[in-house]
Amino acid sequence: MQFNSLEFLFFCVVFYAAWPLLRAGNNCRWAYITAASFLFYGWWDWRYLVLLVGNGLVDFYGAAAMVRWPRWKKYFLALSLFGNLGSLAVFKYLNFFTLNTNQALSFLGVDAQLPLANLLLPVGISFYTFQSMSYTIDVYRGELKPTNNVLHFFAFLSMFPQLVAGPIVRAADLLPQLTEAPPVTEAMRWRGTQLVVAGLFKKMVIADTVAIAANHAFNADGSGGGCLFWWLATAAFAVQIYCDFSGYSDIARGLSNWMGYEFPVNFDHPYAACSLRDFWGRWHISLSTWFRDYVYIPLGGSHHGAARSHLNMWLTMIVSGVWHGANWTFVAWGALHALLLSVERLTRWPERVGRIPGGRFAAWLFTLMMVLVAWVFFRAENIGQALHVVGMMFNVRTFALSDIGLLNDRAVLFTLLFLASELRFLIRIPWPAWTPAQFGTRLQPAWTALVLAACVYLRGPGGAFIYFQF
Amino acid sequence: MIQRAIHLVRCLLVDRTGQTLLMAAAILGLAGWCIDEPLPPENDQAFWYEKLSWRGNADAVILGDSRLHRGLSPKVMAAELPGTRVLNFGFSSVEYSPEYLDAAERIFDQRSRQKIALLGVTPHSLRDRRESTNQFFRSSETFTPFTHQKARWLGWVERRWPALSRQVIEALVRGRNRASFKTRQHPDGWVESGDSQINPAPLLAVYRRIQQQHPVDDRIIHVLLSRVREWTSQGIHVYGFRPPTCPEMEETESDFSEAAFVEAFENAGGVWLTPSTPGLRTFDGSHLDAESAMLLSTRVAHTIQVSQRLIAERPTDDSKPQ
Repeated sequence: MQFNSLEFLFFCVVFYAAWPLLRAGNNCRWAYITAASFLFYGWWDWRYLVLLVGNGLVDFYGAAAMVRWPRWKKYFLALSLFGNLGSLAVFKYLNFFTLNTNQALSFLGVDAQLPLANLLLPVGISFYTFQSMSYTIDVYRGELKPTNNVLHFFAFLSMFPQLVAGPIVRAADLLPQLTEAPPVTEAMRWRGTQLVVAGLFKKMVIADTVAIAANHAFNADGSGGGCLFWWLATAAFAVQIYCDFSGYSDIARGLSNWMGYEFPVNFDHPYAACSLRDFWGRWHISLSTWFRDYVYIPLGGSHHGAARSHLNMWLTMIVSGVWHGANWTFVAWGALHALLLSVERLTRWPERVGRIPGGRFAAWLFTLMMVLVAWVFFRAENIGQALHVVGMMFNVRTFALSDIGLLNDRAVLFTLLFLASELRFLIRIPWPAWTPAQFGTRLQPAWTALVLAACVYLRGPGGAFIYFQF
Repeated sequence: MIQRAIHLVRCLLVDRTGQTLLMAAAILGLAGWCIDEPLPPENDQAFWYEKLSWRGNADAVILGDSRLHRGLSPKVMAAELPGTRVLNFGFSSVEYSPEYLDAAERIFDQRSRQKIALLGVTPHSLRDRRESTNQFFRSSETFTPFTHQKARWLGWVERRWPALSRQVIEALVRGRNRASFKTRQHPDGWVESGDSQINPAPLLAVYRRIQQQHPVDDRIIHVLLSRVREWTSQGIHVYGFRPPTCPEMEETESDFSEAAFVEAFENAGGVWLTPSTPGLRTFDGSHLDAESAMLLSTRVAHTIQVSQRLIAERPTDDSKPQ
């Protein structure tokens, strides 16, 4: 079920209407959350539930066994990792591996082709497997006491607001919250409403509108226009993916607020970052911190010298790229970010540039340009297209103002307005008194209602949330 | 009970979430009252899903892109071809892909004694664009019995409350001529369009760009001709014609060699029709208006009738004098 669908609207009305009645008892609450979440997830395809339940049971019983037989806990952890990473490998990466093996075989002149598997890719598989792994790893490390109630565990693992596209809420954060049913105050409900409305606006109005320009450019076999065309198209994609994904996170956080729970902030104005390091502290925070805690630090982090630290960072970024999808473009995206981060660490250019007058703005602009170039690899259909697009972006001889006309005018306008509004967070200008952000408490509901109506009237052509595919 | 209801209303008025929802409902209600645009949205998804759900219920199927689904009325054609059930399976920006031709084939009633496939061949339907504007692919990707029913229901709501239609609002916000937006979708697949003229320049510019970027593709022509051969061998009468448009639009199609195509089409077993074009006019530089569409439908059906008669009267091998 998509958050921006009619089915979900009905689902929400029914779920939240019954929530006050069913949240009192622990088992009743957990069973209700689990049943509703299974319905939410199974709406795509009921077969997805088999994998979710299977992986969940392995992790639930694996964690319980670690406590019961501590001497063998290493093996139970291995079993859990094998189950989670194995299902990812099969459902998400098997065909990628097969295709590349076939290419390698034909390159070597071997006349044998491995068959491709016809498998469903369960929506959001990367999100819930990572969430589930955090549970067993934390239990293994002794940082979390496992729950002995399977309903409690599945309420955590499958909780519908964050099941398919995050934020990746760690077991240590969510399991304790679920043991209580905190009263939903008016303030909490209002915060949830603001988040849901803001998320819907980001997705339905901004992301779906700017997507017209990005899709037009990247789907049209890369022949598009010149330098300006590709900078604008890539900026449109940058705004699309941010508004799409952070919109989803906002809605997820708002929905959890309506239940009385809190999810962590997942985005903090990433396009106002003045360095790549700053960007990664603001973009998809729940995934970045997951990789930091479960990949980068176990590899040794920065404790074994500069060279090892760079190597660890490269491995982490490439794994992060692979996490996003089974395509060399994602590997290239991760590697490019690793390269840029390495250069940044070695030269410390953001601090140096930041010291000169106007340097902070220059650092912001340069960071944004690097992020945009990296997004080309993320969005492109293949490496060839990505290289062509990047080549065009830096070929200033192809610059032509008329290229603006090749893209949807409203999409270009929304892209530029959005990036300009992000600049406000960089230079820390407060909203003027007459703007809605400064409205008194009484006017805020009216403004929120207008934004909600805008979601109906200014919505773009629509589409699924991008991060579902990951 | 009443006291409870009053209590609930009071709670809603005090609660900011309640206030927001009430005000949003008021805005939507007010807009619905103010925007009284009696137009069904042009891209009503249910209409395209309906076409995809057709199975075995026609003797004659019209295939092609928007020039076809706007340009031929099955009802008018059926009046000229008595006893023939005609359906218009045209989709916007469609290309003659194997998937599209397979879907069209499923529409024929297998018990029909005289199956007719009428292909509207525009150069744009022979370009490999793979664009999201291809209504057939776009609809096929999401077509399920559930999405079909949902789209039907949403279409019903939007027809009664046009203020909820994105297309209607977009047209109003952009200040487009309301009349130019007028279309009427018929259950037989025809989209009756354009009761007033709109400036053709923007559309012509789009088509010029398409021609530059996507030349007519020989692979698509090959797919189409193979299917014509297959269908004629199965006893289906395959007719083709080039839907008329304005001279400026034909200039954007100069990369298409009609004579060579017609020769190949007839060699594959198809019959090429050349209905007369005087009195036909486009409303936007590409598509025929409703009146012209009805006129063309009559002419095309009449040409088919004449052709059928000629085929019927043609001496068979057995009756040829030895």
